[in-house]
Amino acid sequence: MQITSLFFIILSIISVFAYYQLNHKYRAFLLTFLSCGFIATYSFTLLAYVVVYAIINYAIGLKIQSSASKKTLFITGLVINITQLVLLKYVSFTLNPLLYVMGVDLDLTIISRIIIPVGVSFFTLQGIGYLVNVKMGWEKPEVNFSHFLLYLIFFPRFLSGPVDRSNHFLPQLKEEQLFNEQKVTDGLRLILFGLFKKVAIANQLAPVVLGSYADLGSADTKSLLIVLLIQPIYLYFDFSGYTDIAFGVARTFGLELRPNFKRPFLAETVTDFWKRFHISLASWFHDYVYMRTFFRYRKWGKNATTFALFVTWLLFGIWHGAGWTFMLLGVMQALAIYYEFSTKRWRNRVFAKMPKAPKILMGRILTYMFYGISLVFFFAPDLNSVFLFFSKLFPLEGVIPSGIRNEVYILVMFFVVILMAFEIFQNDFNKSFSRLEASWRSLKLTNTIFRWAVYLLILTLVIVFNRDVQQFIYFQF
Amino acid sequence: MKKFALRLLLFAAIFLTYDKLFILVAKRSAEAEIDKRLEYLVKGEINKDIIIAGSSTGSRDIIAAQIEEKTGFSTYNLCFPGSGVEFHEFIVNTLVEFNEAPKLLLLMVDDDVELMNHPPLIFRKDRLYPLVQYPTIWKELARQENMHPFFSSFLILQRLTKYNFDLRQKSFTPMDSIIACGSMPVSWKPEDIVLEFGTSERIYSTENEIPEKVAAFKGILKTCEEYNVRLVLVFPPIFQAHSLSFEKRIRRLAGDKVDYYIYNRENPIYQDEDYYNDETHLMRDGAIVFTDETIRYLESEIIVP
Repeated sequence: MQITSLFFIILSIISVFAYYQLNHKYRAFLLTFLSCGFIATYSFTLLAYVVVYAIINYAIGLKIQSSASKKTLFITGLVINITQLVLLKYVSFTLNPLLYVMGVDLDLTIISRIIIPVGVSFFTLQGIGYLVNVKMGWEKPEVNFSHFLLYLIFFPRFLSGPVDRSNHFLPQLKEEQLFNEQKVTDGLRLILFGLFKKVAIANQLAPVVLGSYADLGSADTKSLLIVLLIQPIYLYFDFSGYTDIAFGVARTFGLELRPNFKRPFLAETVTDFWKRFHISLASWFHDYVYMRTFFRYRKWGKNATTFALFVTWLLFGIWHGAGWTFMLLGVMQALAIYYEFSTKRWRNRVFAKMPKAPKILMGRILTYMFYGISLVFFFAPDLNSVFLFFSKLFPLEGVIPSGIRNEVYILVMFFVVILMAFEIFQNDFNKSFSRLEASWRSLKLTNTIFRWAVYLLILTLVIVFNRDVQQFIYFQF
Repeated sequence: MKKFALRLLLFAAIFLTYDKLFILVAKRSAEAEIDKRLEYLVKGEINKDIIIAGSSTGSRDIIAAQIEEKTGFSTYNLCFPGSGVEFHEFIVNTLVEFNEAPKLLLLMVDDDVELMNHPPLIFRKDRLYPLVQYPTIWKELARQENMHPFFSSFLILQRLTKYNFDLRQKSFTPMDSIIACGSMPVSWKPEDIVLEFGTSERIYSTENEIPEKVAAFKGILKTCEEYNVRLVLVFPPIFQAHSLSFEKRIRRLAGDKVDYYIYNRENPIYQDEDYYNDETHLMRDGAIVFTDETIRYLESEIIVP
């Protein structure tokens, strides 16, 4: 089921009414049932697989607490989690070449063809996170299986996150969610804005970005420069659009997901950028990989930080997919963060006398450009394409390609400018933004009419642009 | 919660009312179109004896007015450049549904990509979008776009696309000027084009066929049979050797209930690049010759008396 379809949205709204009519005790069960139904629209095999996966993690979680050999159980759980992830996502990169070298004629990708591993990278991180929390005693194991299953498969975030934490999500299910009109309205508004970001902006930019990567051979320098410039925007609006929809749907049920974006393009350093972009994933890797690795090798002193940093970002890259490009994507982030970390004092001294505003602007532009360049490794199908992309950037020649120069793209760039200006306003002019927000939320008739007019306009754009069906980028993970 | 539900209903009611305003966009969208052939088709205004259907080869290579003048049978060209066989099936079905069925249908066959995945030949949804005010068009679009039939039946917005909002009057370009009979012969040729006649024999393989295209082709045969429309499958000239294996495949699919006309391969002009706009389309002079030969075939086979 397409999360951008009217059918999904209307079904979600109807579910909200059903949800609040139910006794508190049965609400989580309803959400679990809906989530199972949602997964079944992709594949019944996947549904069965996820349920079995949940049972295993649930059982291990329960056992860990009372067991004398916590560590063995935890490692067993970890191995199971990682093995199933490798079998479903990384076979062609790991086991298949190994089997080939050993002369075994067996293609293990058949497993992923049967199960259709949608959402697997996301729920695996949640499964591992839960086991770590229980093993470390940071939370008690969940006894209600329906709640635990829902934690793993909650439908708004099943496909592309955000990556949730059990100690964040599960306690919410225990609390009675009273109907709160403000929350539900907020949720619906988020869904609408998310749809707008995805449909009216990301989907319109998709042909420029994805089309160029699909036919790099015939792309010219100028069009690749434009791709370089707009691919961060494209990825951001695609993914944050999905996240907004997921947040919105969850909020209508009174549930909050972990934040995933915080005006990332206003970051002045790459380190700061990753505290603002795909926060749920970056913070998961920070807490469960970086901190654990650093803690384990803390005796190495400064080298422990460097080692943990590279291990974390390498795994972060690999998490995105089996391939050298994703590994290099992770390594590039590690190098940039390492550079920022090791030259911080020197840079502070050099730029101390520079006025604040240009310093901020320069930091933002450089961070954006760095991310734009590193995304070539994200979008390119293989390393050859990466080389081709960069080799085609020079020499500069040609004119703006006609495909990019039409009215739709001008309109889309106008939307981008509006939304980015909105983020700058929210970030840099906090007081004025709060006043504006209060005015937006006001129940005065004129404000309500204005608000509803904006909703109607956005709804119009969403429906009209929704003809260009384009899968969410993070759907593949 | 009751209050909230009421608000939501009020918003939905306002939205539905607002949605109906977009019928104006749909109307203007149709008015702005310069190629009115599809609109005539759905309005039932194409009641002709002979209809030509197909892709750009049909638009460029055969001049309906010439046939009408020589045979006395009213003739109209309903070929759309860039269209594939699924689109031709839609044209033929719409033709017989809203207009008097023609006596004769000349279906131009694209050698040898008619039934293959050939990206330049598609279902021309872009030709349908401007006409979404007509139920038959939006229903077809809903089918093509996998739109939810329930929503598209009562939401005008659901039927529109971003291209409908370009309300400027469209104009012809040198490559797509339509004359009154619906044909689009070209007299203009890019200067830098160099053509080389392809002599090698092309072996047709059914493995490359798309089942949907084969089904659409069969659908045209079925419609013609149902409505007693005499069907002639026309193989127009191309600047390379005619593919016999493709012709065989088409004959095997269509059987002996239809007629076949393959261009006169003895005529040297079909190997002269001056008569071609590109490898698959004739210039106006070539189209006049080819149309004449087609007329002679129709007369010799007593398809037209």
